[in-house]
Amino acid sequence: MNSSRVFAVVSAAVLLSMALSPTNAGDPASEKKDKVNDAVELAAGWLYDDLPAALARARKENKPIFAAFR
Amino acid sequence: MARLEGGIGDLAKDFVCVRVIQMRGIDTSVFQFDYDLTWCGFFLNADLTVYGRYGSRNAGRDKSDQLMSVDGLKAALTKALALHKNYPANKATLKAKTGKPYAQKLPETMPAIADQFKQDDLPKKCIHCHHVWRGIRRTMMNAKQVLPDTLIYLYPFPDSFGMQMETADGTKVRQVVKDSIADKAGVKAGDEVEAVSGTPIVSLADIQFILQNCADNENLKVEVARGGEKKSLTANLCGDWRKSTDFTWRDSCYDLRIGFQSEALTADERKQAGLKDGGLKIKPMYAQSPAKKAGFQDGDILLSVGGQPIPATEREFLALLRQKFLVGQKLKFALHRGGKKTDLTMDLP
Repeated sequence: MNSSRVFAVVSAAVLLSMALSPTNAGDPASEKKDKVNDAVELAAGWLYDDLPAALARARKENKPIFAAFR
Repeated sequence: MARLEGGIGDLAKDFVCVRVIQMRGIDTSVFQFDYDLTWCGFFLNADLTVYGRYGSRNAGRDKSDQLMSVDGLKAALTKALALHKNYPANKATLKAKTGKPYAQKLPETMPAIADQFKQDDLPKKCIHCHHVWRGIRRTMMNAKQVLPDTLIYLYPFPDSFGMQMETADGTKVRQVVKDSIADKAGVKAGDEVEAVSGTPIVSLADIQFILQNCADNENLKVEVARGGEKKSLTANLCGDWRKSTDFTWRDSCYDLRIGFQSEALTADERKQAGLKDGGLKIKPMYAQSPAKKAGFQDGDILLSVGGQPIPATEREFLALLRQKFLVGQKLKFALHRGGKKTDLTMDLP
């Protein structure tokens, strides 16, 4: 496993553990679900809040962009 | 929105996926969608040609995703991907997927909200999607401009002319209202809408975008697939179809109000207030609002404003306020409180 792959896996694990860790009693369930979705998206290779990077990657890979606004 | 459930992963692999968490720096001349959504999917080419959008909403916070589904998103992604595969041969047909630019492209430069968001102090100063409507509309209102219908009755549904769509695929017609404009055009339940006015459609939100930007009396060319055949139909829009769109659930509606929400009167309340029709009851009053400072109270029945009778729905009332009067104008309200008629005056905020 090369170093970037290790980094990606560790990052995903950390993000997931953050997302699944107990939240404050006042946190609505939807916020927790959002955190889980954040983690899963990032682990799946989603870019985070970086449209210029998405445009550059789409140009390079000749793929369309799926931008999720929330 | 269960956006990651149900296996959109395979489809998402064919896209470059990006999560956008706020509107600062987003070019609204490209990224035009209903900014009151809690979630929106936007599909485009790297050259900024728009393939489509996904996400529709017609109710408040607790029902904000009732018009969205994983299947609906999958259908939209699949159609957007097909458009990309045919690109650039289909580029001309996609032109109307981008609307006319607003006066300012970047939300943070819209005069009405520029001060509010001038500090780059995330996340406290995040520009949320719904702030964009505030930026556009409050800027116009502060400049003493009347809001057009298209900026009040935002993103109309095809229901407004009798065409109700499926949630699992917003391009498929679930039902057509008898004798409606859609019915007269020949639209049938089960039809799949492939294009409107020559523009390919990937979702209900795409149809809404066309309606948001078309004329009130437009003859819409609706291309449908029906039982393996293609049919070209014409929906002749006419009358007040756009005004049937409720907008009072919207977060951005706060800015149209003057400090309270209002609800329709019961028959008894109307009778007690001496009204034959129309009239609204204040409920609830917002704390610290201009209306509260002017003396309005919860439960007051509004009879008239500036000599104009109060209509029977809040959406008509808000449209009246923002289309007949200008910010700063002194308005005299007649109201009914505790069995007596009284007047209150306030400057329109």
